[in-house]
Amino acid sequence: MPGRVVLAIAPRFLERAVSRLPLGLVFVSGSNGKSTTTNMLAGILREHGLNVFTNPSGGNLPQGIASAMLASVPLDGYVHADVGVIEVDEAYGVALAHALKPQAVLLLNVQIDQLNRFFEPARVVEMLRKIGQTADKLLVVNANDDSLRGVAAALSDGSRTIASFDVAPSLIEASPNGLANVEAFAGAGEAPLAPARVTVSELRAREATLLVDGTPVPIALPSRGLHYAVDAAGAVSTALELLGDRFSPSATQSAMTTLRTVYGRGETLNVRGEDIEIIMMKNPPSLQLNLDYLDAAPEQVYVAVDEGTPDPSWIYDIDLSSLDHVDVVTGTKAWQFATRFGYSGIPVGQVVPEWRAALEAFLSLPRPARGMKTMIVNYEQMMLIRKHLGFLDLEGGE
Amino acid sequence: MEPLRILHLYPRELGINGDVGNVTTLVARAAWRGIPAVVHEHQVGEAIPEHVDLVHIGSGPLSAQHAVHEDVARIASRLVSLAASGVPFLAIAGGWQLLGRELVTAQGDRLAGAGVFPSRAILGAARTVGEVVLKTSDGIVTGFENHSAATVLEEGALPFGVVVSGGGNTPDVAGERFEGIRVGESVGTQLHGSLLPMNPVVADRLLLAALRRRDSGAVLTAAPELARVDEFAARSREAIIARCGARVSL
Repeated sequence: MPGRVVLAIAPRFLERAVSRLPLGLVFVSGSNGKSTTTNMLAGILREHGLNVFTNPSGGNLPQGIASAMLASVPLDGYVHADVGVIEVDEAYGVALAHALKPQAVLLLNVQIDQLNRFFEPARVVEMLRKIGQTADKLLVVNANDDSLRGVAAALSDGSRTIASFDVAPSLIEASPNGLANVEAFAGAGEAPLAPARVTVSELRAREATLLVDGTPVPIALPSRGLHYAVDAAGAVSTALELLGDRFSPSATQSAMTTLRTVYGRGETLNVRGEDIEIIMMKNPPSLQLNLDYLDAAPEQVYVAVDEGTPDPSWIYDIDLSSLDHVDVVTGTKAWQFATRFGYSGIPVGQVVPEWRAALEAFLSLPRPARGMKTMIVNYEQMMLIRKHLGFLDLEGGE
Repeated sequence: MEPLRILHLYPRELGINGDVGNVTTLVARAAWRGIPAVVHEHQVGEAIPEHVDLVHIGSGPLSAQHAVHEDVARIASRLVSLAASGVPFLAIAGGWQLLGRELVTAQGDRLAGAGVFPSRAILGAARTVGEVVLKTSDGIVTGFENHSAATVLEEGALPFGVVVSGGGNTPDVAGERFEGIRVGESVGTQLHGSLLPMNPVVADRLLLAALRRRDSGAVLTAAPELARVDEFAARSREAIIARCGARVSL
């Protein structure tokens, strides 16, 4: 709540607090990967010796950002750092960008996300265009995203540098369901993008190789999957432009090796002495990519979805072939998920709508013979489960 | 047995809300009864196959509707003659709007529809989003709507259902409201891709209509797989009824 209070009593607090950052602010936005990429970019810049201000993962609404600043500004009211790296919600980001005037904006992707809130992807494209437009010096876009190529084309009026990153075509073909970016039907126009300076060229479990200006740079990833490599390419591409000659591949490698996984995104929790993998189904593309890069069909699976996912119709778009059964389904949407599994021929052990009882039933299963217990949950269930199990470091800074 | 031929219109562009779930459901419910089914995915510019038993079109935003609109006009007369010959259609949200008489955008642009359904959709700024409970001739139907349309049915046209909870065709109207449209065995509705999985009676009625057009004595048998998913579906509907506080039971 402190963020909400300060915004109510001093609406220009944020604007003033960041006005003395020598390298200004970098905004990170897009449908998926904001938290992970922000964490990567902040880590890479720190490893280059910069003092970085950032917002904790998921705290991407104005009150979350204000809370993060309150925790780090001294009495003079200014953030004392070299640069700020801030993840911003697509919708709230527009007003924030106008108020805070970022030097650089990194746009990750436009994917199917929260249609109950955004209604359709075209509206998200427009929000990201407005955020991108406020970038004073630098706009970085994902060159594999049709919509963002269109945004870059619309904003290439010479008033800022436009950079991009991409993935080698062979890796996209090898990905069972591609990159899951929205297809632009309205003809985004062929953006005259300069060739990407950072390309994901290889992917091995939790490692990837990035070609940075043609030089291979092997890096560690926080979790499995091409989407994490794409996030890394976005972060490295932005760092490269911001740092110029000071950019160091070895500092970047060292930063990527020491990163913690961001809260709930491919994270492992140790519960009662047993490691449990948490896969968050934030939206269809993130669930699809997380499923596609599972090592094998998990031996024990828990699925929990509640009203944080108002319309789960999209589960019929998901290729579930990486699952061979589900042990426990819970949450207010449990029966809809059980129905969907039924139509895929995936056996369901138990449907227990009440989540505490379901969690207990799942945790009391004997340890799997191989791998870890796997929980596939929506954001709201992840928060409840973490709190219930005593992981009290809450996300969002409030 | 001749396979049941399902024509799925524009799956690339129209299917933003998991609408393929309706097709998945039709195929699975046929297969569990030993009836083979094939799905023909129609893309812009392609020919409509000669034999079609059932037509599905899903939902999509205005940008996707624009992307297929010219092709809809091209195949419109074929779709109308399929409907006239008794082929059942299931048309969801944006797809239903394209198969109606006309779609008027929020900016006032008019897009002619294929004319399969005697309905007209006028898009506005206000959005209707949420779970829906309907009373229909197939019993209580539940689903999820997310649209900005006010939909007018032509004189004499029947709705798919009466709104117990939710917005329906005319969310702004006080008093009794209706949802969707039913023409013979065809249905147009705003309810998304979980419509048929969650409402198996609606799915089976479409299947039976398609089968009876070929063989008037066709019947739908029971199967163990059906009992299980239908139980899950019934519990899904009960959960939505409870969340909406609707005073109805299955």
